[in-house]
Amino acid sequence: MHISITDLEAHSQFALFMFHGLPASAQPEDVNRLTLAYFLISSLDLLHALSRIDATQVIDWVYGHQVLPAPSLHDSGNCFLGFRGSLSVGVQFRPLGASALLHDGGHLASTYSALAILTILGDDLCRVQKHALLGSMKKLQQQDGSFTSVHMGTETDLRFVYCAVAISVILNDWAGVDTQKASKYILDCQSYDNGFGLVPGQESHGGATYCAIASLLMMGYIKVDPLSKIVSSPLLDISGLIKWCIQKQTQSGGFHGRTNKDPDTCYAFWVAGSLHLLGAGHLCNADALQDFLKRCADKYGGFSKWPGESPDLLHSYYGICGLSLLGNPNIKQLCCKLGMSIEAADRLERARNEG
Amino acid sequence: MSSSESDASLEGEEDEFEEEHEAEKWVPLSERAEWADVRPLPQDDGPHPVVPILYTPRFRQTMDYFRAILALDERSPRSLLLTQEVIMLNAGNYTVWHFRRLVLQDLSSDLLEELKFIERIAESNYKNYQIWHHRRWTAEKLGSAAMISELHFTEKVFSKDAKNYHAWSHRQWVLRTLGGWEGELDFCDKLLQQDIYNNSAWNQRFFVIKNSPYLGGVQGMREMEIKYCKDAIAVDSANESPWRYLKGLFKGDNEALVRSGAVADIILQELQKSKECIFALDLLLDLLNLGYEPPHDLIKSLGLDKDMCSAFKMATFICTCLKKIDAMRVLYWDWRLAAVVNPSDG
Repeated sequence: MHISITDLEAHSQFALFMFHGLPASAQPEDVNRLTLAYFLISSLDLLHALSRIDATQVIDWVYGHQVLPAPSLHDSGNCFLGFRGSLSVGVQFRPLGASALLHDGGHLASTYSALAILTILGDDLCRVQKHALLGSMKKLQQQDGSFTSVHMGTETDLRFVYCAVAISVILNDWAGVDTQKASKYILDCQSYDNGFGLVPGQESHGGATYCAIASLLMMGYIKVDPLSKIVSSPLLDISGLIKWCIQKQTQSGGFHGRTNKDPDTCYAFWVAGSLHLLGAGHLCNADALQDFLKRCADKYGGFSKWPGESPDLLHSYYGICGLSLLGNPNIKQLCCKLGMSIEAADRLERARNEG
Repeated sequence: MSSSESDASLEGEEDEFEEEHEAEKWVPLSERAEWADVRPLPQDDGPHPVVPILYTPRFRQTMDYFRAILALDERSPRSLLLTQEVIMLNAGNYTVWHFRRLVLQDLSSDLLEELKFIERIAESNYKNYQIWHHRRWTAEKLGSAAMISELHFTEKVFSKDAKNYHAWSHRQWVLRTLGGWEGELDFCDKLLQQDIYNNSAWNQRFFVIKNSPYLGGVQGMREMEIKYCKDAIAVDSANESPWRYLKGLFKGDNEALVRSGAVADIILQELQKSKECIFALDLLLDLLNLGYEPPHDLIKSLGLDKDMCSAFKMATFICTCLKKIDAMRVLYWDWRLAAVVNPSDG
């Protein structure tokens, strides 16, 4: 039995409530405001509840995070001209974004979130400084093909490869990614058990596996076979990869992200979504997964990591994504590789064809 | 829900959050003489902010002073102290960490002290990416002198969470960059003795046999590692980790996998104990798909008649069994069944 419209309403209410204000306990996410907004706005879109927020105001707020070239000074030569995760660095709000300050710059995950929000809200992306963004994004790519998230330097791993790839797809321009290097890095991250770790040598992880598969698909290194509907590739042992993913469904019905760990709501997206991308989404136990998700749903809306915990934004969003992948008729279909509704992703496709 | 109701409940949470920090007796920066010359810089969130956070007065004010210092690019001892205050409130702020590194460099600060600072911060934040990145930066500056401290640091984290992903990444980086391979295989063994289900330790074991300059690489270690898997599987044949490790030893070398008598022995050993060992059946199915010709005792272990049993029939039989035993994955085993090739369909 799919979760009913009435029960889904509670999730919309939860998202709207958070949209208007977060408690002080969210302070550790202060620099990730755009990503939090993405979770909520994509949730509301999937739940057919987008009309309850003022899209124009949100679009203006998002553009206010754009990093524009600094007129003079310092290291803005290397600065990533994407989107800041928040305005906490001290820039003044400007409707088109603000010039880079000292120690300021865009962040790859925030930039992905910003562009996803804009696409979901139907913005035409005309105000995005595309060439500056992609030109500076290229400098974030490392010798080994991975990406750092900001020009000042952070850890580098598959998460930021995914962000750079998704940004390129949304902007329909690959000038910012050396795809060959990126794909080599991704393959280096594949573990002996066929899953992917976040960095080469690391343990297979559901989130990393999603980033790997989605990125390879979007770059065209793996393709869905039109006959079998399953991905085929000379680069990867696809059946081994499907086996790794399918084994991550635990007896509780939920998926865990690593072998022998506890199940967690978000892997209903990362791992079940990986199966979906491989054309094998139908092989998981949908009823058992749905039951697990129901147990993680809070009666006042939102999803927690596992049953009995308090809901949070990330798990609420990926819980809804999980339900979408399970085919709930009251939730919009998810474009799993891009992280937004198919409806939103199709708008990009149409704009591309018209352009 | 009306906005006043929602404000009330959010304030409730805010109070609770304030209380947690109250014990430290915070003196507002605006009341500290050493900050009197700095004009705090407030955050401008625009006319219609989305997901506004109801900052505590302490968080807001500390950030206001940090923004001011950042704009001035003041790399002073008091700036260093301020970054510490910001980090205590939000260890996820990558800008403050970046700035702290610049200040540390400009002041030529003692990086051994910095390691201690990180340790204090990490105690409540050991899943925070920025802390681990900063730790790596500091260790990199210290060079090979930091090798022992870094290995110890990860061990301290493992004593609380033996699967901490960041700590494992850090440890692999330490081994690759600073060394320390000598004891690593024993270390993995120790953790696996403590918890044979710890897949992170299994992964580390693979990392070691593959990369350690003191060992013979995956192929050279294969025989010994098969034995290691055999013993682990004997403890619990439903433990996925050693089975994946076992097959991983042959990644990219299917021919050797099919030829390996030791692997077939493990399968036989487990099927003789129970015909319902999922991972043994799964591996046998993989072998059959690769052209493995099962010996009679293996056929017999499944209760099949040796004369009746082609590889095709055996694979079909295994999939049918797995559909019943592993009901959670019935659709998957159906799919595997459909992929079993009947040679007579040629």
